[in-house]
Amino acid sequence: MKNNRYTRAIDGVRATEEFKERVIERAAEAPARFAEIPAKKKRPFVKWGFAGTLAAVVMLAVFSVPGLLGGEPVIKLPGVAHVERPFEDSFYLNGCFPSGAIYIDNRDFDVICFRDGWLYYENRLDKDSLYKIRPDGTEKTKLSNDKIRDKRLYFADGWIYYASAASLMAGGSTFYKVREDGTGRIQVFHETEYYTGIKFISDGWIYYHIMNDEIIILESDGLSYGITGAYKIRTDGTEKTKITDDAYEAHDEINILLVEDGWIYYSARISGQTNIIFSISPQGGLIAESTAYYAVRTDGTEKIMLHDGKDGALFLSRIVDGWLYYVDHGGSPKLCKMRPDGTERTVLANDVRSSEIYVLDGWVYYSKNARLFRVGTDGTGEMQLGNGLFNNLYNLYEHVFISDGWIHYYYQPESFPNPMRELGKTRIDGTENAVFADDATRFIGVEDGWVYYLGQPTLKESKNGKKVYVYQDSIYKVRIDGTDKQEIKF
Amino acid sequence: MNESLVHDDFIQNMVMQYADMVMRIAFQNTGNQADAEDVAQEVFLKLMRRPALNDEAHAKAWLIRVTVNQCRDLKKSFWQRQTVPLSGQWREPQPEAREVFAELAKLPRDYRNVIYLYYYEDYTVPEIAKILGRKENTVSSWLTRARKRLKQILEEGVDYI
Repeated sequence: MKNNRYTRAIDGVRATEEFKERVIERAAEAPARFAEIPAKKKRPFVKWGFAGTLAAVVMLAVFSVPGLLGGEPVIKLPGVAHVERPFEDSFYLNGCFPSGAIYIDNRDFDVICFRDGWLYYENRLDKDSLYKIRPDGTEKTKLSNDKIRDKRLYFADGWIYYASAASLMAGGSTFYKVREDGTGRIQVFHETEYYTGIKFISDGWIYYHIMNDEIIILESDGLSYGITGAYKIRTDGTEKTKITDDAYEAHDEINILLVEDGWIYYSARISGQTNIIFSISPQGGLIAESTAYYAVRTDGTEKIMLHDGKDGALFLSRIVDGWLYYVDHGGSPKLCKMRPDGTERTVLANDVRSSEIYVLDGWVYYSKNARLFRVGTDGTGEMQLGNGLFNNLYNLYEHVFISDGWIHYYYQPESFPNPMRELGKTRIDGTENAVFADDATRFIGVEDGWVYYLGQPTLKESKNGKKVYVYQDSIYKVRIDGTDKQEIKF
Repeated sequence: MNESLVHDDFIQNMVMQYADMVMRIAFQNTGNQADAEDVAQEVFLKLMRRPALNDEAHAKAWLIRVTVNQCRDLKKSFWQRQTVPLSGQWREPQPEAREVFAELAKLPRDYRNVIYLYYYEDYTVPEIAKILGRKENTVSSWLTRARKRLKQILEEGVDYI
C-alpha cells in the first residue's frame, strides 16, 4: 500500500465484525443453492478439472515413514512425504494448498507445511519471509527473504522450489530454488504470464502450466481462466519444452494430472469442440463432459487415449501395483480403477464423488458424503470409518495418518459449531473410535509419537457483546494416545 | 449430513481476509455503508456458489472483479439513486477522510477503482487491466487523469496525522 492521504482515508473503511459474522453465517447456507444455478450460465470451460487436479497433486496417494514412533510405522496418507514412491519428493505439502490456510489472525507465524520434522512457516515479524523450525521451537532457520506465493513449496533433490509473491505483483511468475538448509538461493525460471504453476518435479524436470491471460473471460460473475500451455523445464532452468500441442486455442485446456514411470497423464479439451455440456458437482465444481484423458511418454514418442471423458470428468489418483485408481464424476459418480493404458476399467464403489483417494495395503480410502470410507482394491468390503465429517474436496490429504492399527484424522464433529474441530482416531477395521484432541483448528503433523496441531482460538466478548475469536501465538502437541498435552511458544 | 461444512473453512478464511477489501471497493462505488454491505454480502455468497478458485491471487482478483460488477448491477437497479455522493457516511470518518472521499466522489467510478487497485492494493497497470477487463492503455489513461485530479491527495500535497 502506498502512503498518501487517499490510502490512509480508504484504510479507515473496514468491514465490521458483525458484518463478517453475518456473511459467514449466510454463506454457510450457500452450498445448498448450487442446484439453483443453471448450468447454461457457466461458460464452457473445464473448471472442475483444474481444481480437482490441483487437489490430485496435493494428495497423491500413499507413502510410509517407518520408525517415527520408535519402530511403530506411521503411515501418512496425505502428501506430507514421499518416501515410499519417487516423484523426487515433489508434491504439494500439508497445508500448502490454499484452502489449508488458517484464519487471518494476529499470530507472528503462518504455518505453510510440516515435513520431515520441520515446520515451514511465514515469519510475519520478518516480512513474511520463509523460515523453518523444529516443532519444539528449536533450530529456527531462515531459508529465504522471499514471501512465498500462495504458500506452495515443492521439494526435490534437497531443494525447495517456490514462486515469489513479489514476482506475482510485478506481473509475472519467477520461480526460485533454495537448499533445504537455506543456502544457494537461485532463480530457476521466469514466465511473463501472471498465472504459472508447477505441477510436478520428476527426473530433473519441472512440469508446469501457464495460464494465458487471453483466457481470462469477462463475465457477469467474475473472472475465469484456463490452462493453455503445459511445459517442462530442467531444474537448472534450461531446455524449456512444450509437452503437447493438443489444445492451445482460447478456452481449450490441457492439464497435467500425473507424471509416473516415464509417462505424463493429462486431460485435454480438443480444439474446435462445440456443444460442451457441463454439470455441477455437489461441491460446486464444474464437470466438463467432453474432456479426454491421455498418456504420453515423457519423451513424446508415444501417446494413448485413456478415456474419452464423454461421460464425465475423471479424478486420477496414483498408479499402485499396476492399477490407476480414479473417480469418475459422470452421471453416476463412482470409484474405479483401470490399467495405465486405459483398459480393464473396473468399478470399486458407487456414489463416490471424492476428489481424494488413497491406496494402501489392499484398501482404497476416500470420502463419501463427507465421511471417511474404505473399500478393498477388489471392490469388496466397503465400510465407513469413524464418525467425523470430512470436506469432500480437500480435507483428507492433510488430516489423515495411520499408525499402530489406528487411523488418526482431523474432522468436524457434527455437534460442534464451526470452527471447532477434533483430532480423532478409529480402528483401521472401524470397530472403535476415540478422540485424542478436542481443541484443534488444524492438524500440523506427527513426529516421534507426538501429534502437533494449532489450537482453537480463545473465545472472547467484544465491547458490544459479540463473540470474538483470538488466536494464540503457539502450537500444541499431544501424545498419540491423547495424553500429555503441551503448549509450545515460538 | 450438513453439506455446508464443505465450505465453512473456506468462506471464513475468505471473509476474514478480504472483507475489508471488498467493503472498500464497494464503498467507493456505492457511496454509503449500507449499500456497500449489501454488495459485499452478495459477493461472498456468489463466491460460495462458484467452483473452487485456483489460488489466492485468482481468488482476490475474482473478488475485485465481482465486487465491481455487483456495484454496477446495484447501480442499474431502479431504486438506486442516479448519483450517490461519497460523502463519508462511514462510521465516524475522520475529517480528513471526509475531504478525500468528497474529492473522490467527483471522479468517474472506473477512475476510483483504478486508484484503489493501484494505490491501495499495489497492483500494476497490466494487472489492473486484467482484473477489470480493460486494455492497459485505458487503465493507464484513467490512472493518469485521476492522478491529475487528485494530485494533492495522492502526492501528499497536504500531510495529516
